[in-house]
Amino acid sequence: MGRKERFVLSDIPIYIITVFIIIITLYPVIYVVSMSFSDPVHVLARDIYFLPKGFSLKAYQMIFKNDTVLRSFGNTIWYTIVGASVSVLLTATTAFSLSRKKFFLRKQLSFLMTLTMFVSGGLIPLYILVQKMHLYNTRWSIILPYIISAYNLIITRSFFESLPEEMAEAVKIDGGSEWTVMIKIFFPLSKPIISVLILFYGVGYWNSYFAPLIFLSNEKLQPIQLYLRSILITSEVRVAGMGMDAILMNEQMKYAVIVVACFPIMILYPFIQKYFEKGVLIGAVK
Amino acid sequence: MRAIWDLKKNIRRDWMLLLIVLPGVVYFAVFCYGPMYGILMAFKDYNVSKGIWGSPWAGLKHFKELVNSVYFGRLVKNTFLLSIEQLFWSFPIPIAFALLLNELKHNKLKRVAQTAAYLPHFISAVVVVGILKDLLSSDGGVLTRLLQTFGVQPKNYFNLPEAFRTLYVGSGVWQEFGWNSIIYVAAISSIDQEMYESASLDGAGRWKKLVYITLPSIAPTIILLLVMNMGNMLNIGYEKVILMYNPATYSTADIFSTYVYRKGLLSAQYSFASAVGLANSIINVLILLGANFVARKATDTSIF
Amino acid sequence: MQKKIIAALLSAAMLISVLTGCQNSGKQEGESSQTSENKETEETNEEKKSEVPSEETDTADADAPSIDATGTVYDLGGLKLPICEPGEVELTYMGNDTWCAGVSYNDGTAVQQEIEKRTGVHVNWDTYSSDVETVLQTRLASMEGLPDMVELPPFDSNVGVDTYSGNGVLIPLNDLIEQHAPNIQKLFEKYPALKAMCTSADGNIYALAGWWGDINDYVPDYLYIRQDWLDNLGIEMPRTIDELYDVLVAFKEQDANGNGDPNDEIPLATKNGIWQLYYLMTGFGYDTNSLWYVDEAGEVHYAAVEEQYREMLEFLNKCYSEGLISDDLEGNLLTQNITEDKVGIVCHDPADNMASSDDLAMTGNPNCDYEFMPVIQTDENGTAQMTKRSLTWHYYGITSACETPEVAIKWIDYVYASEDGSMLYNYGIEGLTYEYDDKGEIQFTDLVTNNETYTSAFSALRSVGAWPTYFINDSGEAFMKIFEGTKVETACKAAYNNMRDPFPEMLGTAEESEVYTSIWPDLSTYLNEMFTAFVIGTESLDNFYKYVETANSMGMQDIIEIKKAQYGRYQEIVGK
Repeated sequence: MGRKERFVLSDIPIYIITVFIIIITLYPVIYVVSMSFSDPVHVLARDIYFLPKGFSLKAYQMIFKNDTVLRSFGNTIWYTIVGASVSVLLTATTAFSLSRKKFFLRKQLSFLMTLTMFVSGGLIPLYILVQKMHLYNTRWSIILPYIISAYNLIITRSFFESLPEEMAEAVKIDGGSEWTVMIKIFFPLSKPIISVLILFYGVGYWNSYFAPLIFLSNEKLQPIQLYLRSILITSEVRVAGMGMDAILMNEQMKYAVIVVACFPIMILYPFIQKYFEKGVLIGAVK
Repeated sequence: MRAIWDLKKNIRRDWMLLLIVLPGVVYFAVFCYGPMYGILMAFKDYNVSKGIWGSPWAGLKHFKELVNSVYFGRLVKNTFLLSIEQLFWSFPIPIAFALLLNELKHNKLKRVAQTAAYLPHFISAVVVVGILKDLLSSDGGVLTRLLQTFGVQPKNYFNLPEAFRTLYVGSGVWQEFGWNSIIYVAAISSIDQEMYESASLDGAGRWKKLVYITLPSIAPTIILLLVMNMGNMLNIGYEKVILMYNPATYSTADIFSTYVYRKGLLSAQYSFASAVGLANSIINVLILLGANFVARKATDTSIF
Repeated sequence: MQKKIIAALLSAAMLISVLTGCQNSGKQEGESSQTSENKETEETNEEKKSEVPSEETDTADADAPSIDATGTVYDLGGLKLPICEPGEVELTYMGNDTWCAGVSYNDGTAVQQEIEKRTGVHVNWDTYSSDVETVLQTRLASMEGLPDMVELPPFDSNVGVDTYSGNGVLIPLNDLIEQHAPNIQKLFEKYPALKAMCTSADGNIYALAGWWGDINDYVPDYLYIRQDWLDNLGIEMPRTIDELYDVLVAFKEQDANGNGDPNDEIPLATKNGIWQLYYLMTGFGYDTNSLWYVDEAGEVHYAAVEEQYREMLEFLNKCYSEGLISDDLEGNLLTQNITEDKVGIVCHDPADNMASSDDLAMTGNPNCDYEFMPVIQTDENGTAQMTKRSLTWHYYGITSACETPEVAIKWIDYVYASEDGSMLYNYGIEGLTYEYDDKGEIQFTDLVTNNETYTSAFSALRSVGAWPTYFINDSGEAFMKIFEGTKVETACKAAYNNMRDPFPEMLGTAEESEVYTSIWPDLSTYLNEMFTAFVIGTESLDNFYKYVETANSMGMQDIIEIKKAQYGRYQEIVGK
């Protein structure tokens, strides 16, 4: 609510709770950032509680050591933009059809699509499918199999259902088709849900790790998440010779990797947030 | 005949909607239902060279193996209790947070709170558990010291079976409530502002507006998400649990997914793992259908 | 030194080959292709057959192969290099990536490039540093996109060999080894135990085990203790279990690290889980610290269900309740606590980690001095010995998707078993990572000893691709070279020839594997849980016999029977 309101007594607890929430949620984030910039020895001793102790860019140097990181970033941006665009589009259109009360397959399709959230055939048949369709080691291998999430589909459908039906009726009376209803009436009113979809899908593709792990063995196509994981030594080294440098690196890398992986997507948020702040419906409906 | 005629009529009427929904249908058919035959694996002794279709039938062997495990009872109990506790806390808190944000008049503070709250979502489980272990370490953890000033003896909470669920759910809520509130924030943002204005003119206070305008407006979203969350509640991955449990806390922490994980470390048990997965899915779907039924009867909102 | 002579010969040969531009000379390449192998090539794809020149029948001995190499070429043991013309055959390998942060086999390392130069075989590396098993199992289980050579999942057990050999994913290697892999044959002769552990119950070899028999002759895994703390408090190194107890109490009660706070010391901490405290069983009448053991009569035992074990649990319970053992049961905070100069004794860590633990603690306390502990005995007259660490690592196999299995086995023969391969493997590349000094001794270069990024010699060597994770066969000698002149070397020398062989981990029959995988996951969970419960006191030791009974009812005896049968097979192959 953007309007100015008078400050009242009952605002005080709200402010206090909000500040408390900011503190407890910001704490781990600051901790991670501090850890990633501190002298690695302090990272191991874990005597950093808030601000960095010492200063070291070693972990970041390790990450940005070669060109792979830039290529991987480029790939991730491609996957995020292309994947999210296609996903948002398909989710919105599919949800639109399912939201139309008169659509004769509405119930059946909704049920079948929702079911996929809870039942799946498992990884092996999906992998075989991707191989057989010759998607393996192509850019689409990590987008196509995950293009619509049933969860996002259902919330979008429910949003569409809450839109006033009268406007759709008006279009129909004027001789417009369902297509016109979708493009002219529903989509312009859907900024909040579209921004949610962009955020959910965007972050999903950005963080996508498992699909590329299984479907992309070609390094040139791999996204940043795979690269970042690959520079962490995750296997337990039982054989001789985990030197101190390796122990230090392994410990601090965990934090630097989070910062590198998240920073760009964090920037996205304020742009999306804009749409949450104003009542988008107002005005359009009138 | 009548049915076919009806169908023809329907198609003629809804051809545009069908066209619009077609890509979605194709996707679900190919990538979700196409691989469904994998479920058969649960009833077979999967043999790599024969593939899923060609492998010999095993009937309910893998389900029996699961049920006959000495730990079956404990796994059921732990999985359910953890799921329920998780749902109990992690579902309402994001709603409360979204409502809180809505009441906040200071726009800057609101923006900061919202951004801060969603950030922990991006921190990996390894690091979150690491921070938690450090804060609660029995010698010198920050929280331990804080508790000590209140006279609580320092102990390693990660070794206490009774503390496991609290730690698991608590850290999960801490990490995800901001992220999970996004959808409610979006729902609230699309409430018609005129309703608030006219309510204000009628002299309605903050509480009244919350109860009579905000909550009813986002109720369909809440119900929908509740039903979906209930359908998903038994799907607790092993990743975070194995970071948090140890043999001292198995008695409350060991759940189906961790059990399958440990078994899988010792053998390539494809069929067994998919039997456990299927059993899990069936229970989930039953819960989903039940929740959906109740929601439809009680509130007229439902998924299908 | 024979090596030096070969090296001298080779450098001359190389000079010539450089002058004549050997890489592109068909004649030179032809020389290395042996007619004796032409028969075999008929089995391979036609493409290859047509390219193998047969006019050159020079059977020059292995001393002077005209391979393209940087640095010395050592003994090839009868294997002819290059295996194929450069780039003629491509193989894929799937498995773990290197254990070196910031480096990946997929990007290619100096050692991999050198191996390719010498063997002519181009390997496409498809390696992963995390979730390897998921990727591998998906590929293997779907029979799609199979690599030619593979590190077999699941890594924590050897049932994968049985699973994937039974259904045609892995091909039998016996004939291939016999015909093409002279070095693997020699390795088997040298280590019958390796052959035994690679041999499936049907008598075939489907996979090669990563071999640690050599390095683990040297590198023990036991407890190490702060010698400087002992000195501070004026106590002797503990030898018996009673002395150990006194030391623990002293660490606990006094200010052993001298920082003015008598309460911040953790007397004993474990690295990978509290159950590793069974290492102390030598203090309770056992000859060695292995849960699986064979007595003088040749009977197979599992210690955790025996009476003496109860005494140890009692002792540990007492220690735990008195705060002498860290309550960080999984060892999550161990490195942190070592760095903070708090840990007196570390249980279950290989000798070389003493060095890195020293480095960690020295950041706070320059006097830190961890020393390896002698085996804890029941009393002064005890003669118990440590058990060697496991002899094998993961298994590696060739899949049915491989079109040129004889090239693959030759390549494996080279990297896994030949001396030349092992020099690359353990020391890296001459000129890059090591050089010979005037006395003919190997000296590591600055890259290894003075590396800015990788401060330990191991990491530095790994960063160029040495000490790999594929076809592991670690050399104890090379290990000792890295730690020359350090206390790690002293500890390892003391342990050499002073350890018992571990219980052999044999491959099971299909039936054994099935019984084992249905019983052992539950049973080991139970044993683990009860061990912890007894030690931390949530379960009274009065229930020990009930615990043994429960374990038996869960199939403990069946597991012991399986181990007996496997031990029998082991004896047969090793011929004792």
